Amino acid sequence: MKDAVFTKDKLCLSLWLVLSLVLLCLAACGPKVPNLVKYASLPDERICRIAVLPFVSETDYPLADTIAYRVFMGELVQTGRFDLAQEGDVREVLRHMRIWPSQQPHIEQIKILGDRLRVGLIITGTVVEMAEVPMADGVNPVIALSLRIVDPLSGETLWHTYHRREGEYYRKVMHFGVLNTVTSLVHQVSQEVLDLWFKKGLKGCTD
Amino acid sequence: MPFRRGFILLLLALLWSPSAMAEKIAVFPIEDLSQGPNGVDFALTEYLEKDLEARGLEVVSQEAVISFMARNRIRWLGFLNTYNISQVRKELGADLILLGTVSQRSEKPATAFGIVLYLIRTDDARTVWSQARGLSCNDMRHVLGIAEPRSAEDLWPIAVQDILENWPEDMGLDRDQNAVSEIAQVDLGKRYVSPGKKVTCNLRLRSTEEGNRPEVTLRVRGRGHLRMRHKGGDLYQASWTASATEGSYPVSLILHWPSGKHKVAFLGIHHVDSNPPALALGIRGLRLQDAVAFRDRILIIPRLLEREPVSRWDFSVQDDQGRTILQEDREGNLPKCFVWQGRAGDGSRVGDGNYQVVVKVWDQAQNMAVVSERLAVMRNPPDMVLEAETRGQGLVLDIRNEGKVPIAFWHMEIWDDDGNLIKTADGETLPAEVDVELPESAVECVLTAKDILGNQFRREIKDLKLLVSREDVEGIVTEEWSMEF
Repeated sequence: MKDAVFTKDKLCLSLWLVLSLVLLCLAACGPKVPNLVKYASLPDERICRIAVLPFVSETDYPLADTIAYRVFMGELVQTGRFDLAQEGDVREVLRHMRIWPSQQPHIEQIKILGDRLRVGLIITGTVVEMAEVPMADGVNPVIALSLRIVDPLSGETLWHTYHRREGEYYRKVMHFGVLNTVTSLVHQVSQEVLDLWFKKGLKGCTD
Repeated sequence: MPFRRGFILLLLALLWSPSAMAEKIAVFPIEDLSQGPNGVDFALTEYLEKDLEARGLEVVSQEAVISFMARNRIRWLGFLNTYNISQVRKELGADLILLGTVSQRSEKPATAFGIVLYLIRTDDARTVWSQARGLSCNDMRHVLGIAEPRSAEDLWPIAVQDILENWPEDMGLDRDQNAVSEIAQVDLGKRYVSPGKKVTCNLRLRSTEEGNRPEVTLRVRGRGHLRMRHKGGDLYQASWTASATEGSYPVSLILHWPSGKHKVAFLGIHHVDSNPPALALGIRGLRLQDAVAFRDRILIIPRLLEREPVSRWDFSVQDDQGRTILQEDREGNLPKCFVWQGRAGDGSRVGDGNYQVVVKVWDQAQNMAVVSERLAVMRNPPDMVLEAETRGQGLVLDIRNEGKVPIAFWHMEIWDDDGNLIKTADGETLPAEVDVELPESAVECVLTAKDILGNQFRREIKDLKLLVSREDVEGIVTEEWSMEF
């Protein structure tokens, strides 16, 4: 009888533990994929050449725009699916139109950019959040990106993606998996956004 | 004889030496964002140069790179434009350019280092490879704490080596390295054409050596290979008929040299479009029968039902006889809306009546869409009718609107001889009846009204009794007299 009660208590304790773990996991989990809103369809044809405009930063993190921009561009090059307009060319056309680094071009200017750079799509980005939150054993980097795919012919936004992640999100067990630097987190976030875009129908030159 | 054999061996050794086969790379100073927008890390640049040299690449000296930057007034790090890239190829003879950015380097609150590298192929100014790495001391923990990095200085060689392990094997240089021609200018004509239209591609090649002219061919989807005609000098031309089927048709250039080398370059895409744009007009106003009525101005909003670039548009207004009284056409996209203020092309106001507004739109392939709408200019005041009849001891005023345009509101005031307001009435609908006690003396009535287009009506009646026929008035008087009698 005593054994039976002991077993029952043990079972209850185990159930509580499992339930607590599940709740903990649910609380810790954000959305599994970036948030994608499709305002219009992408062009039917494969896009070979694209341009990424310098990102705009809404954070206090020093040079957050340049860091996110360079890493995102690198990730896009790594996909090997596009011919990317050189950053120097993009900045040159922006300079010609007197668009300063903190500004996003308006529709007409997007059209000019598309024409001057001869690109099939334009990507614009805003760093909504970039931070390194101090923790006991280091920092927890945080990044939130807002990215738009813009049609250079009409100047209209076709897709909009918002994606936010913290380094801790990737923790698997103990300290493994955690992303400890802003650079690696932006790299990961860019990869996830691009993966989603390709999955949802963005076609590169080699697709 | 031994001398001759030695010479041949030396020549062979030179031909097979790594430097003779090496790709030439220019490593530009690495940008260091941790030092601010113009930060530079020469130590890391030098480290990269040495590593790439060890991998068998011919590295342009840092002095030559800095001198190039000064000569070409390049005052920034981390990026170049296409012109700069072509100049690097021309002036430094580099096949590749390595650009890099240190995205972070910190010791506190955590030791971290981040870097992004870009590799650019100079012959087509294309970024062919890129890698990014971010490392923290927390990423490098060892179970026994052996050889753990403790500072950013310890971290960066690890991050850089990690990146360079993925150095690309093939950057497409073999394909192009012996090419003696480059595309100086290319014109694919219109990007959008209608089916069956002639498409012409003009090409100008640069640096073509006499006697070593390449065979120039175009590859067009659905058309196969088209040999480009040599038009003299470095100019080449090819024409073909656009496909009868709608779609996008990529065009690539193939250069074949007598030596067997070839180069392929993607020139662009032309789109075959046979459908005119789907166009609709949105007009906000009062629809009366088959026309939209307005008084002063009307907004005409053209809407493309399917997103499509527009090459030009034409807006015109025609009168009842079909004569064009106003016309405007422009190149480029449609405006968000047209505002017609009821005036002809010479600025004069048009008379009341029906008009036809016609909007024509051409897409990039010159397919035209036409859409029209009838408009009615109505500037006449509301056609108000005011009648009075006797009823009992008083008068009943009957107010009607016999015009086509509904009334927005009406207002009536009745004043006696002494200037006292004895009655007011108003409303938003007609017909309406207003009861008034029969006055003994003359009373003045003022009726105002406004229709929904804004046209106003005002009528003053000096003596309300004048509206009633004499018999009626006399009858009332008789009746009143009888009662009193």
